[in-house]
Parts: sequence; structure tokens; C-alpha cells
Amino acid sequence: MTRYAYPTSAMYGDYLRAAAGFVPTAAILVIMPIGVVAATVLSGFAALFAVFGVRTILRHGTRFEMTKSALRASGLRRASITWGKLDRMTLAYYSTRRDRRDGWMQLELRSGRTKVKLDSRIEGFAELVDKSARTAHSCGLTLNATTLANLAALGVSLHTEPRIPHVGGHPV
Amino acid sequence: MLSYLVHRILIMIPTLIAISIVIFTIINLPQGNYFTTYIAELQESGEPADLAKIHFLEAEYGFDRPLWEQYVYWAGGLLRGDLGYSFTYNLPVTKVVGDRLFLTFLVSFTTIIFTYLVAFPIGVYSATHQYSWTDHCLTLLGFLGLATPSFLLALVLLYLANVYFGISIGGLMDPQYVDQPWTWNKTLSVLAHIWIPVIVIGTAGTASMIRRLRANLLDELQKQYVVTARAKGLSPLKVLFKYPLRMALNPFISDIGSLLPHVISGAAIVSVVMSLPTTGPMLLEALRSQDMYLAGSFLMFMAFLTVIGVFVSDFALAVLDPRIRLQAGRRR
Repeated sequence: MTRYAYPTSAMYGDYLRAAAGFVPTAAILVIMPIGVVAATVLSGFAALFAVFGVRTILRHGTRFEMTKSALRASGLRRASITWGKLDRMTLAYYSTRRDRRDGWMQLELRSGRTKVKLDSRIEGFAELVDKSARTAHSCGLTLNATTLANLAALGVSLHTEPRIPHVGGHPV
Repeated sequence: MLSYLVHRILIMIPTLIAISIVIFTIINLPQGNYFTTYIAELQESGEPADLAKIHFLEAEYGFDRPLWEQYVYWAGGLLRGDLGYSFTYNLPVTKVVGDRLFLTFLVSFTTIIFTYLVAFPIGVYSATHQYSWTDHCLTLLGFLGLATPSFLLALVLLYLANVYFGISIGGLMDPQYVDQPWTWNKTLSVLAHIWIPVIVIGTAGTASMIRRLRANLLDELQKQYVVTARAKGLSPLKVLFKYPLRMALNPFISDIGSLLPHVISGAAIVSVVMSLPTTGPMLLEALRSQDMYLAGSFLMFMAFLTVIGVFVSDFALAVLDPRIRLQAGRRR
């Protein structure tokens, strides 16, 4: 069994972003008499940053355990995905820069209604992706082109030896 | 996705603040203000200027305060939905802009729809029928569209529309409907006039979009996976729509960012030539006369459209194609 968690140092940025977005928008909403359109937009921003802050707390307080049979989340969020029942895996890459550098990856795993999302700041992300990809491959899941491209970028290759159809027991 | 949204919005807000500071500084760079320009104009024409009233108005609107205080007053007003006061029109900016803003939106969005509706099928057809005589004809038309100045096309179309369709020259409606409340007949008159500015403003954008879509789609169609898909016996339409077209759509999406402000600012010259009651000519006049609140509101509006447009296109690209691009950071 291997344990994974988001290191506190990696979460500081998100806490700061949530605060930097929520505090000024909420302050303007409370202090200044503003128009309806501006109030609606700022309320939307404030709500978005508040949700982001709550999600950061939940993410920070969640631990993951990977065993041969399942991936379990415990702590503030609880979920369990049995590897054998994995029915969807996506790996996306996001970056806010024009040259698409300094971005982050997001792994999403689904099994029925259970969903687990992890981003690349978690310790051992590459290991989690590798295990997920191999499980998805062995389960026969079809991975989309984006996921395959991102897996290749991480050095995860799912190509096996080409299967040569046999006719009458002899390779063709 | 939530992380991406938060990152992106946190970049957007300081960008808008920085733009507002730059706009305010640029508007205030020329010597004097609206009132000094106004006094100079009165003195040139030999009319007496009521200096006491002008000094009162300068104090009333904070022109005698430090620049940073004026900025805070202006930016705070924008947040409250108060765009300030137009000294040229002696009306609040919101009232001055009112109908013109609606007509600008109407012309701009019709132009965007026209651009997409025309460019998309032609670009796809040109790419899938490369070097056919129709492709050559469409390519020639595309280059003509790119090379023809908008104001020249405007003059030609105005003449043709007047001679062959009897449409009044200039404007977005027949003269009797100007400054009248909206009626069914006024709407019909706008619809009868709008196609000319839409074609004039949209032609260059359509032509460049056709070229880019054709080039992108040709790149995709020559890739290995398309050859494999064909070899496996997939129908040509399925091969086209499944991946190559989706990949070739990326420039369409990334174009949203520049399209919105370009259509509005690019239409200014055409609007002057065609006497369109849109915001373009008003912006030019506001900048010329240093009507700072009117000019500032327009420029801020365009900056806002740019930032929103770039945000929408980045977000759409992140949703549609969240791939890592290994060659993105390499120098060529």
C-alpha cells in the first residue's frame, strides 16, 4: 500500500489565489455602492473564489491510499475506486501561459458514480498516472487522443507488442 | 477546470486594472483637457467664453484635482455603472452611447456570424478539393477580399445598392427612422441596410479565416492518422469530421479573442465612410475633442471585450484540447 497527499507547500499558492480573489471582490461588494451588472459579475467571482477556497481545503485534507485492488481517498473527502471497475480515465494538461509552459496536469478517474480528481502537485503523481493508465489499458478502456498524448508526454507508453493474427497456429 | 478558471480570472483582473490606468494616462497625455480645447475653439471663432462657468465645471468634475484622484473617481464610477459625463453632448455617457451601442453590437455580431458562415464551408471545401479549379477561384476571391481596402468596397457597394436596389446611401436605416422609436418598419429598414456594412466589414476577416482554415485542415489531412483511417475504410466524411476538422477549428476558437474588439474598432473608418450610427465615429470625435469620459468609456469597453474574448477563447481551447505541446516552448 502506498500513501499520497498534497504537500502543504504546494497548497499555499491556491490558498493565496482564493484569498486574493475573494477578499477584494467581497470587500467591493460590501463597501462600495455599485451597479447591478457589476454587482452580479463580482458576486459570481466571489462565489467562484469561495468555492475554490473550500475545494483547496478539502483537497489539502484528503489522503489517498493506493493498493493493488483500489485507490481510496480518506480524510475530508472519502471515495474509493476499485481498479477492476475503472470505467473512465482522462488526463488533461492546463496552462495559462501563451507558450503553454508551467502548467499542471489533472487526472480524473471514474468508477460508476464515484469520481476522483488529482492534480500533478500531489506527491507521486507520475506513479498514480502510470498505475491508472495500465489498469485502464488492461480493462480495455478507450482513452481519448488528449489523454494518450499527455501520457506519452509523461513517458507512459501503453503500446504492447503488435498482435499478429494466427491462422492455423502459424504466424502470418 | 475550476483551477484553470481561477488562475485565468486572477490574471484577467489585474490586466483590466492595468489597462484602465494606461487608458486614463493616454487620454490625459495631451496638454489641457476638454475645457481648454473648448475655450481655444471659442477664441478661434471669436465667441466669448464664460470662464467662470468653465472653472466651475472643472472643479465640479474634478479636473483641478491630482491625476490619481481623477483616476480613482473615474474607475469607481465604472464599477458603479456610471460611465461619466460627455461634455460634448452635455449628457451622461450612458445616454449618449445608448442606441449606438445596440446598433454597434448588431452590426458586429452579424458580421461575426457572416464571417463564420461564409469562411467555414469555403475553407473546408478548398482544403478537401485542393488545386481544383473551384479551389483556385475561391483562393483568388480570398486574396481579392484580403487586398481590397474596406472603405473602397464600402463606396462600391453603396453605389451598387443605391442604383440596383434603391437603398438610401449611408446610414443603417432610411433617414425618416433616425432618432425615432423602434417600430416594425424601422426594423425592416435596418435589415435592408445592414447587409452592406456586414459585407464590407466582414470581407477581410472572412478571407483571412478561409486561408487559415484551409491551411490548417490541409496540414491535418496529410497526417498519418488520417491516412490510417482512410486505409481502414472509414467514409471520407467521417474521416474529415472525426478529428482533422476538430483540430483545424482551433484557430477559429482562438480568433474569438481578437475578433470582438477588431470588429468594433476596425469598423470605425467604414462607419465614417458609410455614415453608420455606430460607436466608431463617436470614439474618433471623443478622442479628437478630449471628451475624456466618453473616450475613456469606449476604450475601456474595447479593452474589456478584448480581455473577455481572449478569456473565452483560452477557456474554450482548454476545454476542447487540453494537451501538452512539447514543442511549444522550443525556439525555432
